[in-house]
Amino acid sequence: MAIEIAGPATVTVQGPEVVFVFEDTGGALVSFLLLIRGDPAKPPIAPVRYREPSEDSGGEARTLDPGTYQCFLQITAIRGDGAFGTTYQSVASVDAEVFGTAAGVVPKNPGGAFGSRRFQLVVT
Amino acid sequence: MARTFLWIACAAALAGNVAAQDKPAADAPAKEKLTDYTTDFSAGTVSAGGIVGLTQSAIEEVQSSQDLVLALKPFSSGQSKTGYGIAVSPFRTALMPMAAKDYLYGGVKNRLLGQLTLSYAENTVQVAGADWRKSGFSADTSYYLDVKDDPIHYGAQAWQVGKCPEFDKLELKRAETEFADPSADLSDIEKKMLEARQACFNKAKNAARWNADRIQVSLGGGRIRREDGSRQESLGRSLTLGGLFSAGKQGALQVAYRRTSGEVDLTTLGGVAGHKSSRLTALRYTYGSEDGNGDTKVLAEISNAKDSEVTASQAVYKRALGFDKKVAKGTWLQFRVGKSRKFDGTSYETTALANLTFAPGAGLFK
Repeated sequence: MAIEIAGPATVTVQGPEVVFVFEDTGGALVSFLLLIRGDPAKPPIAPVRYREPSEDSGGEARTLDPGTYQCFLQITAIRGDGAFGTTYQSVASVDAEVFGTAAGVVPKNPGGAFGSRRFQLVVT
Repeated sequence: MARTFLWIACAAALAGNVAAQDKPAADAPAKEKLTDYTTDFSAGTVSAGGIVGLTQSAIEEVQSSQDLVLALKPFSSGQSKTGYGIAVSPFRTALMPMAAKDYLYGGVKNRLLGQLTLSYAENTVQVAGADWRKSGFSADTSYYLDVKDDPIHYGAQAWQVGKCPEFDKLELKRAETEFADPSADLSDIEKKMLEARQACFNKAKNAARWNADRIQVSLGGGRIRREDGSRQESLGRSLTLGGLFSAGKQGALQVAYRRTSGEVDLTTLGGVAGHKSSRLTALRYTYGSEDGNGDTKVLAEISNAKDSEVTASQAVYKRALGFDKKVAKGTWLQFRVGKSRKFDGTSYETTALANLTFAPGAGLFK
């Protein structure tokens, strides 16, 4: 079963420093991975990663020049050994602008669910 | 007898279903498969089973699960006939989901709530020539004295970025592949991601102790009713305090203290019912195998069940030997042989019990 991620096609934030925040309030093991692609002539931007459950908050900053970036958000949820429960309820945001939400139950077989979403990030 | 065969058939069918999980079965619909059992260090327990004599042991190891746990006693023994029990941990299923981080980092209250398990069990016994149906319910919780021993805790630790490099690599590969080609086939990468995550958990599990110190509390009650419905009496209300404490690398000592009040005196079932209150203390030593971190366990237990009190709560093993064997993922065979007072108090009997426990899956609650 695929994770359905809802969110806007374009998110606009003020740079150069932006903070990505991920949170999951379900019981499953949840992983967030965000790929950010900008100007190919410039050094690549490191992916943003976060896993729940975690004692730390899921905030991670990136310094982005003004411009338009193609982004790819991937969410993985896993149940079974070592997981507390079977549900996921995820929110991903950048500078308080939500760019992805998902909720559901991880199927018992194969024990994992995967989802992705593309969006455009405009840094002013 | 027909009922016994029915239970045996059900148990065999379900056990077969579990065993089939280990083999590729791509054509089998997912909804018919059994799922993983979360705290897979010992048999899933149905605490209410102790109230109705399903387990006949004074010691129940409280555990919670992501899934519904089902216990069957397919073989009749002595005056005790067939029975079954079910248990569910609501905060771990989709019924009333609790956030995993709230469980781990939300303090004692959340850890007790997260492990809350509700159970119900039924069992049939024969008293004075008549069949009586016993039913019981129980609410239980347990608490690891050190959160680091909790499988949920070390499962979460092994899940963090950088702790499972193979998963990290595959996760990135999946994202880059789909980012570049939205129509790419990702099933192989996803399968490997799940395998890599499981391998990381197994490594953490093997480094952990199955006999980590934990305490537990149970509240329960029950009733006994003639099969023809002509009479019903209370099996009382009980409070059980217990704990499991490590004894060496592979051993564990379990202790349980149970206080029961308002419980019918079974010798009075033929006339005017009398009720009693009683106390029971039991001790068990368990030794677990090193392979698979305790997949086979042998145990011995004693209790101070009193000869003078002919109540259901005192009809437990005075002494017993047994073993728990993991027969498939999520499925355990429990065997006990021991000496206990007959249910109606007329004499003692040596009984052997075999139980199967397994978890059919939280899909029941979707």
